[in-house]
Amino acid sequence: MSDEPVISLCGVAFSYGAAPVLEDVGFSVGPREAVCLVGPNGGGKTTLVKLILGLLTPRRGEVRLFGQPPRSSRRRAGYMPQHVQYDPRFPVSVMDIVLMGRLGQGGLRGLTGWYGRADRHAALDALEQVGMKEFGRRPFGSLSGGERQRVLIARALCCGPDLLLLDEPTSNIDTMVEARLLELLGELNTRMAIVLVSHDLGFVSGLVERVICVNRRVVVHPTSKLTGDSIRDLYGSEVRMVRHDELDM
Amino acid sequence: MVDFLQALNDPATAFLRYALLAGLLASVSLGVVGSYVVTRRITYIAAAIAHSVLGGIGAAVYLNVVKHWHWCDPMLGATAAALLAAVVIGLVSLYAREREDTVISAVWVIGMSVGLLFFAKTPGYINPMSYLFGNILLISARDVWLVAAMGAVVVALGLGFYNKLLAVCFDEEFAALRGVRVKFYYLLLLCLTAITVVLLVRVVGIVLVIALVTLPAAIAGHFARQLWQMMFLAMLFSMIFVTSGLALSYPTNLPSGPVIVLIAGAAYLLVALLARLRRRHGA
Repeated sequence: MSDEPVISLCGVAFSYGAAPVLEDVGFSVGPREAVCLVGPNGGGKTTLVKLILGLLTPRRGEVRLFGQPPRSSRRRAGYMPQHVQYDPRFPVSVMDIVLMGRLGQGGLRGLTGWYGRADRHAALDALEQVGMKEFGRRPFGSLSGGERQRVLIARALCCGPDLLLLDEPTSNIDTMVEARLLELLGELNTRMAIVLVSHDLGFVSGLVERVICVNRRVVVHPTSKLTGDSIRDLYGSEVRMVRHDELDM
Repeated sequence: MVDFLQALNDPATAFLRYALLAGLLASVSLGVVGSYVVTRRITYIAAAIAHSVLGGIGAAVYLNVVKHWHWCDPMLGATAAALLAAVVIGLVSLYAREREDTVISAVWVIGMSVGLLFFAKTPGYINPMSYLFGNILLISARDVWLVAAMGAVVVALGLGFYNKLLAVCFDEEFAALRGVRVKFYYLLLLCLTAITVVLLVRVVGIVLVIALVTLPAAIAGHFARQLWQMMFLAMLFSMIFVTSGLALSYPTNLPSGPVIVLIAGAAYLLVALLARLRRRHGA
C-alpha cells in the first residue's frame, strides 16, 4: 500500500438549494489513519461523508478517493449509514443484508450478483466480528436498534474495504458492546483507514489521531490538543468534558 | 365444484381450461414481480402501467381493422403500451422525483383516453368492458402460449438478478456504492411489472389486474421472513385465488375477474385483521 492519501478534499463547497452546508473544506486522510468527524447536528458531517463517497457532487472543489473520482473507486470503501430508510416489514434476513457487501465484484458473478461459498464465509466472518454470528437467519425487522446497527457495520466490513466509513456507529449501542467495537476498530485500523462520525469524543479519543470538526467549515485538531476551548468553539456553548484518564485512578 | 371439473374436460368449454392455465402460469410471474412491487412500494406505478395498457389495445385494434395491419394483435399493443408507460414513469421518477405522482396520474388517464378514442374511430362495436374487467370467453390456446413465454422471460430475469434487485429494493444508496447500476435495475423492475400486468389482462382485465399483483404478495408478506419465501407464497396464494375464483364464477355464471379479486381482497383483509389481533395480544 502506498502513502497516497485515501481521502483528499480541496476547496470543497456544497449547498442544498441556496443554503450553504459546507464551504472551503480541505483535508486529507492517509492510509491506516483513523479520524473522527465531530460537530453539531446539521453541521454537515453526513453531507461530508456522502461527498467523500460520491453520493453527492460538490458545487465547487475536488474530492478524491484513493486518488480517483469517488464514483470509480468507492467499491474499496465500506460504509455504514446513520439511517437506513427501512420498512420493518421488509422480508429480509440479517445474512441477506450482510451479503449485500459482496455485490459489485467483477466477472460473471458480478454481472448476475449471485453469491458463492467465499461470499458466505466473508459474511459470517463479518457477523462474528461484531458478535452477531448466531443472528444470521433472523429477520432484520425483529432486531433491536443496537443489533441492527451492528449488522450494518458487518455489512460494511463484508465489503473487504481499504477504508471504513461509519456514520454514528455508537448512537444505539450500549457501553459493553461499545468497548468491543472500539477494540475491533483498533485492530482493523492496522489494515485500513477509518473515518467515524461521532458525538462521543470519549469513545473515539483512544482510537483516532485527529478530530475533524465540521460546522459548515472544517477545522482539524490532533486529538492530543483537543481542549475545552476548541470544543466550545465548535458547539458554540459550554460542553462538559469527561476526562477518562482521571477516572481510572 | 363437480360442474367446474367436468367443464374443464369438456371440449365445448375449452376457454375455461385456457383461462385456468393462463391464470396459473401468470401466478408464477405474479409471485416474483408482485413481491418486488410491494416491498419497493410502487403499487401505484403498477396501477398506472396497467391502465395505460388500454391505449395500446385501442391503437392495435384500430390499426388492425382500419389499416389492415393484421399482424397487429391487441396483446402486442398492450405490451408496447405497458413498456412505454413503465419507461416514461421510471425516467421521470428517477430524474424529477418531486413530480412523480403527477406523471403517474397523467400516464394513467392519457393511456385510457387514447384507448377509448381509438375504439370510437374503429368501425363496428368494441366493448371496452372486456378489456377493463377481463373476459375469459376470449382466451385462446395461443394466449396461453403467450402467457407461458412472456412469463418465462419475467421469471428468468426476476430471479436471475434476485440479489441485485433485493439490494436495490432494500437500500438503493448502498447498492449504488457497491457498483450496482441502480437506475437500470429500477427500470428493469418496472418493465417486468409491465409485462406481468399484460399477462393477466385477458383473465381479470386492466382495472382488476393490480389486485393480483399486490394482494397475494401483501398476504405473503405476513408470513415470509425472506423475499424468496414471499415470492413463493405469493405465487401459491395467487394460484389459489385464480382457481377458486374460476370454480366459483363458472357455475354461478358470474364474471370471473371480479370474483377472483373479491376472494383475494377478502383473504387479505382476513389476514391483516388476524395479524392485528395477534399483535394486540402481545405476540
